Amino acid sequence: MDEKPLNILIADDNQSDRMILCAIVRKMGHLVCEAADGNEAIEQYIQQKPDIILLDVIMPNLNGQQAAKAIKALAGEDMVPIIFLTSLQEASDLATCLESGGDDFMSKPYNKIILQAKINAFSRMLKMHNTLQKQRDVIRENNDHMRHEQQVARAVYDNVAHSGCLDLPNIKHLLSPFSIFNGDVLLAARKPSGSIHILLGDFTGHGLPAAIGAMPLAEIFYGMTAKGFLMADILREINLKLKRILPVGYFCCTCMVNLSFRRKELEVWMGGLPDFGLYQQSTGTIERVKSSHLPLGVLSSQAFDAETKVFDFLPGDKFYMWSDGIIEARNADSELFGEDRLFSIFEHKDSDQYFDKIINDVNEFVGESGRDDDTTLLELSMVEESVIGKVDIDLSSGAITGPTNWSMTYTLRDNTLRSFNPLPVMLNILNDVPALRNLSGQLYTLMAELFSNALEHGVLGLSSELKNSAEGFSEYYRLRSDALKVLSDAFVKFEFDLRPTADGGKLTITVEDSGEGFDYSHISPDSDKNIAYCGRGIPLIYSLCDSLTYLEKGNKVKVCLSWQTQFEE
Amino acid sequence: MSHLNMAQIQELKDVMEEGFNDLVLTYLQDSDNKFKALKKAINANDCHQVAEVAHSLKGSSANICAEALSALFKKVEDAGRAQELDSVPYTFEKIQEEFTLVKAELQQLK
Amino acid sequence: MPINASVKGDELTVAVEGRFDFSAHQEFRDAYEEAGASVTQYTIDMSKATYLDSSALGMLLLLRDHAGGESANVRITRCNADVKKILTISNFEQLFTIE
Repeated sequence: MDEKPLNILIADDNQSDRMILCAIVRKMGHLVCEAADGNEAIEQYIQQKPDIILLDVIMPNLNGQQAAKAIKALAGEDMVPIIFLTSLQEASDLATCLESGGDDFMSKPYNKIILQAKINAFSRMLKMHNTLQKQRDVIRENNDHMRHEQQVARAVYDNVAHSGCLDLPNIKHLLSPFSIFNGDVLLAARKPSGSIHILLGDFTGHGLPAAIGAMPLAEIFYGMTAKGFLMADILREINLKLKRILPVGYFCCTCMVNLSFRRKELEVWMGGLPDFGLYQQSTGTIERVKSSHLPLGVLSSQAFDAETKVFDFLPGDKFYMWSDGIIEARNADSELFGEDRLFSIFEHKDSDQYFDKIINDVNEFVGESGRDDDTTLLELSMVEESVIGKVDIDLSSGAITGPTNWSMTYTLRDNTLRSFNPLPVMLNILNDVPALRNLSGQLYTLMAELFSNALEHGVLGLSSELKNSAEGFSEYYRLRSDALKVLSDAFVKFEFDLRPTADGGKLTITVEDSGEGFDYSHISPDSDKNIAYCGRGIPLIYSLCDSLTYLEKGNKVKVCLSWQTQFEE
Repeated sequence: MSHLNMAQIQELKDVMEEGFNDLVLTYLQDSDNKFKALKKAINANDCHQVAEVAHSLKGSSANICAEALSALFKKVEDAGRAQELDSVPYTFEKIQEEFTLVKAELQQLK
Repeated sequence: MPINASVKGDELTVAVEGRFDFSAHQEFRDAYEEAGASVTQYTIDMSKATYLDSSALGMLLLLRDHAGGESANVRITRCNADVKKILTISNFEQLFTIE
């Protein structure tokens, strides 16, 4: 006996028999408690909680079988081995003993060796059972803990992810409830210009490791989109962040798109995802859009390639994005839904049905059996911008506070012109003026046009006429990037002047560039006459501000924008 | 020939040590009481009671190494269970003879 | 899914059999970590691999890291169509020599 002694209950109405058993058990080093009938046995069980019970079958008052039943019921999940003491020889009597909860038998005359062997065997079993029970309790506790953590993580995630605009009328989406912990991410937000950014991501792995990367990703996506950053900048930033925080081997397969209402274009960056579908109404065909990049979080910043593909995206056109859960959905025969089945859905005539049909077909394919809720699907349609309305900017901080009287000059030179997008920084400053926040879409477009005019036509001297044909368009961008490489002594200078007026404010922006200027004599200050002159997006700029004036040799332009402050009641 | 299994008795003495005398005393007293109960049950023709008491005596006698005595009690128990007590008075006489001899031997062992 | 590793000169060949997924994680890692310092070339033989998932892609990235990152010399050979497709979708040909 090198183990902790057990407590053993001996229940036998025959005193001399009990004495012998007690002597044997005590000799083994165990503790003993005694009972002379079934009732006493139950009472002793409750009081002493013995580890093993030796129970005579035939006893006065309450017999052994009845007592065994009661004790097993009291024990519940605890293990209490019961050894029946009996010389019953009928098989049916033995069966009754087993049914009542007996674990073993022993007959008279008692044999010391046999009893020791039985007690030792049950002692080992008890130890095993207790270990299992403890492990089960630990697992149960860990599981509860984990579920709680997941709930918290989920709540945090929802807060981050739901500030988006997936509910816009031109977006249909399906995001399965467990998708977060499958590593699926689906984000949508509007830029100050009114464009829509959408990001579908699929992190490696499952559970918390997959969900955790979604947090910084969503923060960067929403933060930078709201400030007007370009897709390339946002992707670069997310890639850098993920590369830095995720262990090697963890990454995020991603598709990000920018829908521009003004240019009627869809710009797509895809890394590591299966083909997506672009439906064009004019031809009634679906084009497969392929991944041309590595997933986010794999390459270093230097090696990262943010190059996008640009597609015409006219009203009625639709773009479809999905997680691999759709393609990899399995039916009862373990067959995959597959890309062929998915793309054949687009052979249908009615493009309004595609979204629902994809969901229905996948559900039907999988059937009742193996629905595993691992599906993310999104349909993005091109509509007129008026359908979805203006960008909703929070004005709750009050309209009359904030900087209302200031000026600033911001000059970009050579290298900076080559690689840096100054718009977010400038818009950030302008957005500090509460009244301008309401105009931020307008301001973004205005600033973007002014900057590209100054850089491309002014500094680089490119002719906008090239952009009239598709070949010319790419030629234009080739020339643009060549010219950028050899910049010297170049600058673009922004001057902002903001002053309060009697009923609101007025912003004057002057943009000067180091270029040759141009002959603006045929541009009348009367905006109506300039519609035909589409070279420099001037009609667009006109439509966004109160006045536009070219100065000096045409390398300087001044625009004014004024507004009335709406006081809250 | 002994009426006790002597090899078993030696084992029992090893187990019980100084408790052996107590055990013998308890067995003899308990058996005396149960004898009376058994006789009463036989007279009352209570088959169930006959079987129960004989079962108990069969077990305790086996434990005290009185194999022949235990076998006689088994006969009575079986008869009780079969509800056929005709042979029981005869067996009971033999039990009394055997018990006297067992008792004598046990007392010698003390 | 068994992983078989063999070293010949300075080249380690790891042959993957069946489904290449997270369950191969430890074995795959052991295969290149225990190969010794003399190894400078790595070949992943996919001829018996039927499928790979994103965690297998992660394991390949780990191997690439182990083999020197940007300067790693890792070849992935004899892929079947399914395996090849997954590697192509992920644009892994930018990181590995896929034959």
